[in-house]
Order: sequence, then structure tokens, then C-alpha cells
Amino acid sequence: MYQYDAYDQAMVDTRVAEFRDQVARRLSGALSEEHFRPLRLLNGLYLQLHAYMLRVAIPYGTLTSRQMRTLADIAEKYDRGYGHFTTRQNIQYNWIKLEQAPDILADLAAVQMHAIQTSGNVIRNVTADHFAGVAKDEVEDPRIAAEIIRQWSTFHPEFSFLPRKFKIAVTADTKDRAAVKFHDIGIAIVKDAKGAPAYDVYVGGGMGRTPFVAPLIKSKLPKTELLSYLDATLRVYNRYGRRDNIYKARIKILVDALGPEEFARQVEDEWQLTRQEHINLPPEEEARIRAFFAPPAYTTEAADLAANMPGTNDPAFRAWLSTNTHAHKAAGYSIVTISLKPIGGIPGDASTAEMNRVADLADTYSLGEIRVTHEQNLILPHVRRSQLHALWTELKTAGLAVANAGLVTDIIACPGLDYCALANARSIPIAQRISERFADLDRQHSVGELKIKISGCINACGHHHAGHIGILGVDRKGEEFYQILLGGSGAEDASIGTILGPGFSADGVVDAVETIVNTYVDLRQPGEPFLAAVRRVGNGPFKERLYARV
Amino acid sequence: MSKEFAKIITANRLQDGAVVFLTSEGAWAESTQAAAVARTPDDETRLLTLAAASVKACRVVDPNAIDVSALNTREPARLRERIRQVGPTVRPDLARAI
Amino acid sequence: MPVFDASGLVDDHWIVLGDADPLPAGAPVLLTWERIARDGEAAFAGRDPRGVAISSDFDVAKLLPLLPRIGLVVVKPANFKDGRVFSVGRLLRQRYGFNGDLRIQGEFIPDQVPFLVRCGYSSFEAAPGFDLDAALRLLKVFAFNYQTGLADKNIFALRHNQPAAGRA
Repeated sequence: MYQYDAYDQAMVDTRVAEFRDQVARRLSGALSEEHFRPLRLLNGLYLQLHAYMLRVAIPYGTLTSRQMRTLADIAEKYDRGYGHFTTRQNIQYNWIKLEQAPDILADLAAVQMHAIQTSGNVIRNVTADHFAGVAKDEVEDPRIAAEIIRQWSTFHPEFSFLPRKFKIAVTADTKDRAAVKFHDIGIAIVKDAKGAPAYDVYVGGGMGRTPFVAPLIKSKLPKTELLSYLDATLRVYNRYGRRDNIYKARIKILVDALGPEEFARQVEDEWQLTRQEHINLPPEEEARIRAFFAPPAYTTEAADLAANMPGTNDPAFRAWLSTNTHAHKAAGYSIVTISLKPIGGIPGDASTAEMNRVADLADTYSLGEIRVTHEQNLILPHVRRSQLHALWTELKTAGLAVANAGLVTDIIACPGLDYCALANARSIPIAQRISERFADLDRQHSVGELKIKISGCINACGHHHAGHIGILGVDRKGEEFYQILLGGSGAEDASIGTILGPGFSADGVVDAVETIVNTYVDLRQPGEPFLAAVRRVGNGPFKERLYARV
Repeated sequence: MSKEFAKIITANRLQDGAVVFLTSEGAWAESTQAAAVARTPDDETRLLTLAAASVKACRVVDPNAIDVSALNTREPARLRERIRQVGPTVRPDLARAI
Repeated sequence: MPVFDASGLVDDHWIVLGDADPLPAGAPVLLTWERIARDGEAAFAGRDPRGVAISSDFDVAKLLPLLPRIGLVVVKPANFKDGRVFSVGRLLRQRYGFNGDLRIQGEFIPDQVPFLVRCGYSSFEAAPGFDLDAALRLLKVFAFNYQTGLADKNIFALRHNQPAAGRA
């Protein structure tokens, strides 16, 4: 994976010094809160309900065990012994002191990490497929493009005061695990007519109060033209995106107002000029970055290649294998998902001990590498098949072997009103109650793939628009109320869920979800997943069961 | 909930972000116990003026007047403010004393 | 209001003219775009340098034919978060080759000055209370940058001229 050189290191070190200076000026009164606020946000520092919150970037979701131990140490030293993995491959700490924030950034810089541009009206932490580099069918490792974008977007002088935040995601597989069509820019790496990798560029997707699935704006952009095209897109947005209304300031509103064709034409005109202005990356630099993502040295021992692996007579292990392991591009290896969704737990939270444990297991079983998913789970990307049972046994001891990846209890939830200053309702307790309701693992496995996503307000950090079942918390005359949406998807078949009907109380929404699941089980055809069934029958049968007068 | 006028002033402390409440002397306490209670809109204005001075002096940010129960002024009316007062409902182990 | 550049305070010799003020002789004058658009050639009578003041949402392509005769462009942001000023700067310098004085006037903060310089701004006219010392200090913080196509030291180029050893 990518290693900082002296320049990268100097950039993050300098940033720490700059932020230390800014914090000192704020505490002394030289900087007002109005002027300091965008500066602290550029370093991932929010003021939330209980304290400051620090959001740390995990670029394209890749972490070393050493970096994970630093994240664990920060939780212990500066916070309350835990962190929260978010829906954008970041980790958040909830109890941060402003005066200590520069020290945390320094600790992060020492392991080649940062909180740069994890908030504010800038190009945010770039995300990628969490199976990057190991997915069987990917065109090429999307982290190469993602790292190029990370560097290009870091302290971009033209695009650091955009109309609104700007999120970029990259995928390179026909299966989209990065929700690229819900990003401001989504890049899908595809093959051009000659079979060489090229970029399909989707622009103007997003959730929030006006959800859009991004239209394709540029088909098969040559790889060498990436940065000039991004510069052109961002410039059109920076100049013409709305600045008069925060709710209409995202690029999706501009794309929608102009229409995708006209927006594409404006970007194209701008790009024909930017591409002559020496903005594209020098080829030797692309090659340098690419080299960091060469596959590690995999073993080819017979035990790993054998079809029969130890432990498969244990049904609990088999259940875990079926949901929490995926095919790896190297023979004899598997990709392992570590669920951060224990029954009744807080989705995405991990304690210092758990983070350290995962770091140790990564060293023993996964070449020291960890991934963070936008679904708030962790991945060990390189596990030898012969060692899967040993790993599972250790995960079980640590309480990290829940066999629910992709199932009804693998719920995405934003922090909600328990932590967030913007929220209208709590999200986490709803996730916990649903999880408890479906605690029975056999039942979960028989229901099959089902993605529930919960947001505590219209900003949709919990991706409720993209949930097979989406839940949106609202404040109705001082009471928490929950709307249910059906039929959303954040995958390659991206779609926006539609509201089912009147909302439910906190208790009622758990019953309602169970009714929806039971309805699906009754009406599904053999082998038909939840989302396919909803698309086949529509909302009608679910509405009937939910709102039937008794 | 009584409709009688009762408000206290809350903010976050600048240095560490902690939730604090304005006392009648213009100090900031971590508990609602010592919070000054405005019983009239004039009281509220006076307390918010005190709070504004604290903002200028770089002691707190985002001061706000919040409704509390007239009978028990240590009980904020809105769920959001009760969560700010006590801590996340999903982590009772981290609960603050009110 | 005081004007400074990367080295500190400078004497500002531009005379700001209202749209009805007569053109003085022998002094550089700053005109609004509206006046230049209205008066056409008459706005350029005499041999004195001309400056033009524009807002951040101005279509800078309109200035292109006039740029050889313009010594100062003053850009006014709507507020300090108005990031359009950065695009205006890059377009004027990089695309249209403007080499006179490019100035921001009004609401901006010291921490934006390094970005403004990198986007081509050469002078700054700030509101009262502006922390000039901080701005000048911040200009020296970053020694190089990632973005290509700008006039500053670019890491992607540096890497291949002089290989750098990693730390950590």
C-alpha cells in the first residue's frame, strides 16, 4: 500500500503546525468562531452535542495494523476508549478537546494519517471499493486513482471554498461496493474499446433532502486525463454552483438544473482548455504511485488451495463463511469481513481493545492490512483459506465473529441525536432494537441479503435513501418519528427508496420492519432476494400488511 | 409540561467543548444545578447578554436559551437538550451527573 | 484600507473613480466594469494605467480583449467563503495570461492568503482588523504543493527531479 515520501510527510507535518497556530489564535481571541469554524472543519473538527468531534480520514479505506493501533491509542489517550467507523471510510472520536486536537493530528501524522478535508466545503476524503486490489473481477486497483485524487485534492487552492462539500468515490468492479452513483463524482474504472482501463465519470449523485442517482457525464475518459477533467468539473461547479441556499448548493442541484447534457457540455468545453494547461499527472508519477499497490507476495501452499478446509463440519463456522468471507483474486485466499454489528450493539463503534485486537489479527492472518467499509465494518483482505477457521476462532473469542455481513442485522446507522448536533431523532437505538428483534441467526440467514439503513435527519449520513429498507428519523412536535422507505440500493443497480406511508413511533418502527420482512418471506419466489422481490411487486403488498386496519 | 416561562442558558466551553450552563454570576457550570433560570423574557435577554460577553472573552461558543420544566428547572423540555445534559442514551456508562 | 503584498504593506497609488467622476490626467485610475462597459474606448482616454473592479461572479472572459491595457484587476468576494475568487484568479493568470496586479478587496481571512497567492493574487486590500502578521506568516508555511499547472513548487515534479527519501 501507499507509503508517504518526505514530501507527503512534510505536508501533513506542516498541516499540524498550521492547525496548532490556528487553535492558538482561536483560544487567544485573534480568530473569531465565525472565521475559525471553516478552518477547524478543514481539519475534521466539529462541535457536536457533547464535545468536539474529530473525523479522521482513512483514505480509500486502507489501514495498516500499525495505523489501527494508533487509532486505538487515540481513543484511549484523548477520548473515552472508543471510536465510530462512519459511512465514508472515516473514524470519528466523540469526546475531543479543542486544545488537544493538534496533538492528535501530530500522532496521526507520525503514522502517515491525517484529518485533512474530512469536513467543510472541500473535496472530502476519497473513498473506494473496500475490496480494492483483492476483488476477483476488478479492472484495476481503484486505489491508484484514489491516491492520485487524494494528493491532487489536498489543499487545492482553487477548490477549498466550494459552494458545499464534495465527495468522490472510485470503484473498478462490475459490483459497486463504493456507492459511486451517490457521490458528487463517482468514478467507475472500465475497459475501453481496446481493453485498456478508462474512467466512466458519474456526476451529481447524492442523498440529503434531494436524492439523485448520478448520471454518466463522461464515458471512458482516458486515464491520463483524470486530473484535467476533475479540475474542469470542479471549476464549473465552483463558478456556477449555487451559493445563496445551503440546501441547493451541492453539485447535484447544478447538474439537475442544467440537465446532464448541458452540464456535460460545459465541463467538456472547460476540459478542452484545462487539458492543455499542464494539469494532468506526469506519467512517471502515475507509475510511482501504481507501484505501491502491487499485490503482496501470496503463498501458494497446497493446504490453501485445497477445496476442503479445516472446520467446515461446524455449522456456526459454515454460517460465518457464507456471509463474512468473499472470493479473493489470489488462489488459496479469502477476504474476511469483521462485523462491527454485534446483536444489540452500536453500528460501527469499536473499542480500543477491539481495534488493537483487529490489528493483532491483521498481523497474524492478513499481511498486516485492514480495510474499513462504508457499511461500517472492517475487512481483513488477505486471509489464507487454511487459516480461516483459526481466525474465526480468535474472532469469536473477541466477540467479533458475528455471521451477519449483508444480513438484516448488518445495519448502517448514523450517530443520530445521541451525538449529532444536526439530528432530529435517534438512529442507534432503532438499529439496536431491530438487531435484537432479528437476533436469531438462522432466521437472519433464511431471510438473506437485506440492507437496512437509518438516518437521524434529512442529511442522510445513514444512507436511508439507498437502503433496501430505509429509515428516516424526524421530529414530529417534539416526538421522534420514523418514516420507512423501500427499494433503495447503493450498489451498481443504484436506486432511491420510496416512502411507504405514514411514519411510526420508535417502538412501532421495529414492528413495522418485522412486518415488512415477514411479508417478503411470504411472497418471495425461490431464491429471490429482498430487493428483487420489492422491485417485482412494488410497495403495494407491504403497504397493505403494514397499514391494514385491524 | 407547564407552559410557564422557564429557560436556562447553555453553551459549549471553547477549550474542550463540554456542555455548560450559565449561572447567575455569569460563570459556567457543568451541571444544571447551578444554572440561572430566566422566568421572564427580560431575564432571558439579560442572561443572553452575559453569555455574549463570555463568547467575546473566548470562554464558550454557541450560547442558547433552552426551555426547561417550570416545576423542575433541571429538566430540559426537548429530548435534544436532555441528551446534551446527560450524554448519549446508548452509552449509559458515560452518563453525566445532572 | 491598507493594501499589502507578499512582502508587507505597500503604497497604493490607484485612484478609485465613481462611475460619474471625470477622468483625471496623470494618475492611474480604478474603474468599475460597469463604467468600462458603458464608456468603451473613452474609458481608456489618455495614457494612464487603468484598473478594473469586478465581483467574484463576473465572467472574466469579457476582460480578455482589454487585458493588455489593464494594470490592475480588483476582485470583490461576496463574503469570506466566496470561493469563486480563486477560479477568477487562476483563469486570469493561467488561461488569459494577465500579468498586471491582481488584487482581492474586502472579506477574506489571513488563512486564505496562501491559496489566493497560489491562484495568482498579488495584492490584498483587507477590512479593518485584518491580522496582517498572521497572513504574512502563513505565506511561508507550505514549501511546496501537490497541484500541477500552478506557478508554485510542485511535488509531482520535484519527486522526479530530486528523489526524496521517506520518513516513518
